[in-house]
Amino acid sequence: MIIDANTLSDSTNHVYDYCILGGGVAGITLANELLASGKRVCIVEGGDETFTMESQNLYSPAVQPTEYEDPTYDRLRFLGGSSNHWENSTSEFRPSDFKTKDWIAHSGWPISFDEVKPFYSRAALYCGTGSDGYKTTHWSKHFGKSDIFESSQKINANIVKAAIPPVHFFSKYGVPLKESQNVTIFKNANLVDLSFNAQSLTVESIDFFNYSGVKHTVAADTFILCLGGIENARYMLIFNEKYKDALGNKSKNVGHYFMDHPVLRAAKLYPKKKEDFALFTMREQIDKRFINGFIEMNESTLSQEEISNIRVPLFEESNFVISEGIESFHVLGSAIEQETIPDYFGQHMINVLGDIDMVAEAVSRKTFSSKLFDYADDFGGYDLAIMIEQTPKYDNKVFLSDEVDKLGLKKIKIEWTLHDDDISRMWKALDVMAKEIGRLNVGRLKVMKEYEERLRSEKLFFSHHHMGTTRMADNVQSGVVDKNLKVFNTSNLYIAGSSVFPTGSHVPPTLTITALTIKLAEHLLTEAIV
Amino acid sequence: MKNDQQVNRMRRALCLGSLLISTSGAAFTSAAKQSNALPKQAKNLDYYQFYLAWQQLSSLSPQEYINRRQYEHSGLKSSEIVKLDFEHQNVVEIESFILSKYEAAFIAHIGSFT
Repeated sequence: MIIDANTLSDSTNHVYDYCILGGGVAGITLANELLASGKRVCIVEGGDETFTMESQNLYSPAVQPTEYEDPTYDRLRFLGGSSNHWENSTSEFRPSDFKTKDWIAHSGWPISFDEVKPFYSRAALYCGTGSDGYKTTHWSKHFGKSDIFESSQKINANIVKAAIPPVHFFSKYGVPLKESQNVTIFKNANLVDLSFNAQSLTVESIDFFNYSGVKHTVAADTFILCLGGIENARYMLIFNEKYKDALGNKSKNVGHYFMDHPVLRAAKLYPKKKEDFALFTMREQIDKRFINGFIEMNESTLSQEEISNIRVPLFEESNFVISEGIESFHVLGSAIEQETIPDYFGQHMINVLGDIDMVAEAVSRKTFSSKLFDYADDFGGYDLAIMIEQTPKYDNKVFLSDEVDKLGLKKIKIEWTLHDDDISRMWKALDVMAKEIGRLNVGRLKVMKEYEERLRSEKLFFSHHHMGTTRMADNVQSGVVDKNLKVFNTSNLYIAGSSVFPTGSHVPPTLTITALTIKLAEHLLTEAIV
Repeated sequence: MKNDQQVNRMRRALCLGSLLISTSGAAFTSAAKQSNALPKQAKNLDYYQFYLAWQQLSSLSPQEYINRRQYEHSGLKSSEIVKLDFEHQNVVEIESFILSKYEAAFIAHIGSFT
């Protein structure tokens, strides 16, 4: 059943076996996995069934991050969470993603790929991408597109799948929860407090407020935080302020190691024959799914070259679109309007002059609505939007400010930067890729190292994948949750979602979030039987 | 005062005119590289940049380098020498392109005629 907390007038106590805090991808998946057990499950969700400004505004930070994006709208605070606006791109993590890499500090998961692998197939069903896997050999054969990197020891083709339309988790999986007798969804129910018994190491209850300030208490055997990569950290910090870091924060790891998948437009690929790259530009549809390829580094290359992985989808661009000159022309134009001189003025001028025909084409199209040069629409090359794996860094963090929101909870601040070592690893990876593409004689890569300074400004894009803030580890010195996602020093508090990722791989996280959540459900039910 | 205004108007017109002439000249040149409107030499303007970059990279002229490589790898096709270069990291970065040194020498060699 679903209960609107705003309709509850009196304070009441509720009792459940499992209390899931947050109704996004992890929360909805977990509730579905626990559904058949007959256990009493509740979901406490701060938002409604659709978007409301009242709820969304609670995501606003105390101050806007200087180098990171505004976290108010890059996630959604209502049932279904950020699955309500995701692109639905899914790929499996690679075995190497779970291993410790000597050249990357704080890398390595306390679980292996083989422990997650059995759950990927079921996770893919949740994500709407089917149980037929992500194997490149299968899909290249299926669509009759050759994999030009099949023999390469340096780079690979990998597969991305997405459901059409993207799966909104609550819309798709909320019905059985609403109809179930053993599941209760409290919507408009904002988590505000938690009671922890330091003797028994047990979380005994949580409190939530509706938007009128009426408080309700939920007691449960087990509590699972599923609030997303930023809010999981925020609430853990709030609770740890109250309980003097007793909840998995003895080593002050909560909120730290905050990661995203930065996307850097730093290279272009000029193919010898476009057909060679058909696997990467096919955008094939099958059974309401979109399937495509992308280029990544071979796993052995990562250790040989001591680099991180990169995800390189290919986007066919015309001479007009791929033009650096037009982009620089706009930058210069905006600067003139604002009577300022833009950063990298010289580089922009060179771009404009070097690409003056396409700039003239752009002016003509805009001013006279007519084309000057027919070849402007010809294929100009592939623009590479390179998604990189970000190194976990202690100084990239979500932390509490002194400013409070409408519920009286401290707002967050974010300190995030793209570190030099990540950029240099990307250059190294592109260097390997350029040589391999050259060796195979399928094209040439243009690696725009002159963009180095601009990679932290106009050439930097975010993936809105918030990871690492309550990281999984073998011990409390290195993390916040153990390999079963239980918060260290507690007996019944768990965390699900990408905040538990110690490292973030180079592919979108949702499939792995879902797989880990299914694994958690299995663990919880096994533990209950024991 | 009136004279000053006229002079300023003329100056602005002159500036705008020269900007338009240079811009359209550059646009025409750039466009011509893609078409057959100009003779071959004019299309090699970018190659000349490669030639300039090559001079920073090697004490040998492009032709000397090509001759030396062909002597070293006699019996191999050019495409095989390029492949060898990529395999043995014998690459150069010119104008942001990662190229085999042998093929870069060829482009620079063409550029040396412009």
